[in-house]
Amino acid sequence: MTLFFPLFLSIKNSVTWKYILKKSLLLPFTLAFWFFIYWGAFKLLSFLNTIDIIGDMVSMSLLSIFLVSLLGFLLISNMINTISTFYMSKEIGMLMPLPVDKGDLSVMKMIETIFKSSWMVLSFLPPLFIAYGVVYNTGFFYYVLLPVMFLPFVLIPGGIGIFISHILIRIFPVKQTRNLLIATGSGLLLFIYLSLQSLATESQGNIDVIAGAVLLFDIHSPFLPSYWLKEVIVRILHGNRQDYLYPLLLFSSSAFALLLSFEGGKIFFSANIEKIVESDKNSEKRSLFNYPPTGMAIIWKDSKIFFRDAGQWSQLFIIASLIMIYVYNFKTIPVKALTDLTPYAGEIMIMLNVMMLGLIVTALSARFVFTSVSIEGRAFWIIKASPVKMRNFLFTKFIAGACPMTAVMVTVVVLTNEIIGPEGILKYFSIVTVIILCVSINGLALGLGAQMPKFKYENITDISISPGSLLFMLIAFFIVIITVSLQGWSLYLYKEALTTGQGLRIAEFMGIILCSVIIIMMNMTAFYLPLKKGLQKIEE
Amino acid sequence: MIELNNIGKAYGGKWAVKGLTFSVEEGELFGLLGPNGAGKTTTIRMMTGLFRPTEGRVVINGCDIMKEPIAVKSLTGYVPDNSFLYEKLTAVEFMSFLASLYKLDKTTALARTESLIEIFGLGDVKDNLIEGYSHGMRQRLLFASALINNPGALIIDEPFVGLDPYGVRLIKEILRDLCSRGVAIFLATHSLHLAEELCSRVGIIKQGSLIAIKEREEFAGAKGALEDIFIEVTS
Repeated sequence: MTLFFPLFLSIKNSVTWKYILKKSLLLPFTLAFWFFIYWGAFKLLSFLNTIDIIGDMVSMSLLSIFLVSLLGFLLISNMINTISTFYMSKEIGMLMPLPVDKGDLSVMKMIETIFKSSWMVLSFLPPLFIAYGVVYNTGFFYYVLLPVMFLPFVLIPGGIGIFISHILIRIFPVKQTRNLLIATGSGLLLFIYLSLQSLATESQGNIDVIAGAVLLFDIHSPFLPSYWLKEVIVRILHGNRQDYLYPLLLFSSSAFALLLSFEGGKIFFSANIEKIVESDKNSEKRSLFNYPPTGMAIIWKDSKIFFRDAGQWSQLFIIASLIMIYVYNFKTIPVKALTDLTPYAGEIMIMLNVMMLGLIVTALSARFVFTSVSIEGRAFWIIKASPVKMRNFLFTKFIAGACPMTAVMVTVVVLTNEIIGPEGILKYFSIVTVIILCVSINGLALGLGAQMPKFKYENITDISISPGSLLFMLIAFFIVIITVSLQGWSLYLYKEALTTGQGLRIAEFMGIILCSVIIIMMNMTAFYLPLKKGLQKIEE
Repeated sequence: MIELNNIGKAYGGKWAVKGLTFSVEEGELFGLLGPNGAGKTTTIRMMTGLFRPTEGRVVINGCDIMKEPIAVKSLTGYVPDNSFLYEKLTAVEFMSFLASLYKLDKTTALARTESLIEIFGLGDVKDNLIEGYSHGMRQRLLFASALINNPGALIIDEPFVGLDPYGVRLIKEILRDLCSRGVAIFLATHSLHLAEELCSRVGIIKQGSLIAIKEREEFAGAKGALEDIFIEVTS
């Protein structure tokens, strides 16, 4: 327990009213998300319940597929987190030389790994299972038993994942292993998504085809913990008598998995740490004298650090996957059929596309641009003590973030435009809007990131989920939505005038001008004001 | 060369440093001594432009750090007491990054980088990532990087932390050589015997105020004289 004292004390010392207030800002979003999951699950299960025989089978198969996916996700997540908490944590370097029992250290890291890997996923399960409980009209016992049964279910992939990672690190270099696992996880998610998307497209809403595919996807292996948990849940949902074999299997296997992880830690942990320290000392040599061009030194330095930090560039995999999914989604939208429903289908699609891209730019900026000042970390003194104007420093950070992001977004908008096929003016209109949003949102992210820098951090992703980042995202969402709404209204007036052939009335023309002025002023303010304040802050 | 004129820094109304006035001439090695929390690091951070003084002026080579920060920083080298560096760069890359910030041309940058890396004994590890360096290697790299711009003034915070005896001797020789070439060196340290050995003048700071300035003649006579002076004025 002594090993947990620093953690407990850190939590105790950091939980202040101000901290609680800041964190409570997230509460409405969490509740909204919970409600969204509950509502979706409730609607789907209620609908399936109306279909005789096959409806219940599909509901149970969906539960089974969900539990298998969850098991796989927890396994990969534990494997990745094992590498971070056991082998890449700064704490290890401090604890290893102390007279700490390696077994205790291993247990502490095991608990930390399983908690880190599972808490977020588990926190989103209650609305889903409450929906099952409500639709199947279960008793109170269901809500008590479920968390008890989930505990061993979470511990099994935790223990096994940790054990596998110890062995992998024994064989392979630590960072490459983590990258490989992240890439595998992203690839699996992409595969599952594309499979489901393909199924949805091919089924064209036919419930028999969907039900058949769901039943086909269901994995019935009695050797999987997901099967054991499903059997427990299904029996409660259907009000059947419980078969005690499955809870017994869950608890005994979780004990075995923990023992496996503990013994694995005792055998491999110290030896693996020694291997990592040795490999750090003999890290790869780079002998070319690359001289950064004057004025580009910061970009040169940032790009070198970015591509040498596996934790950073591996996230590009996930982003690339998400963008592929996004573009692929457009291919599946029946634009021509929609045009029969409304003459404005093309315009609506264009505006939705721009809005979605604006939201993607916001998310990417929160991760890469908002953090770009903080990422200097405790080495920021190097920049501050150098003859570099802070204005130039911020400018290079802006260029480094905005240029690649704008290039990617323009490529995506051009690709999606090709799929939607808008008229000439709309095509250029959407490209210009995306460029405006890229510039203003990147400026906003950089400016707010400079105003609220966090130079002491364990993991850079901590900054992108900080209250400052949340504030940035709220403002950026607001800008995207106002920009797109005003443009949508202007486009509507323009299209209406073209369709009727009467031309724009003066009031309408003035309205369009006013909208354009508001959009330009708002985006300019979002770009300029935070950057100005951020500059003042880092100059001080 | 380095001139501090009544500088002070307050945090939330409380003065960490107040009314500090002294100067360091060309070729002089001035030591600032003081107990922990006396205000040495705050003073240095104001001298290097990392902190904005609440009052007073820091003038280096005739330029006010607040009015002409770029000009002052171009002339100054700084060795901090911590060793936070860019872990994912090599020593050569770190030095060339700094050279580019100081706007040196490529030929000069290459020549200075190679020469400093050799002088500071980092030749064998120059192409390794900094993350694999020991504390002593980092300290040597910090010194090497502080000299990349051939500074006229060098500001050093706790120079010998983490250095082995070879490293300490090397740095002492380099500091003496820099003084002989007219570089003004300001050094903040806890190490009284090193200050006694190296400094031509020392200032003693306590609770943010300069309480004494001693000339070399006053402490160079007997071994341990500076320690006696320090204990006497700070107790």
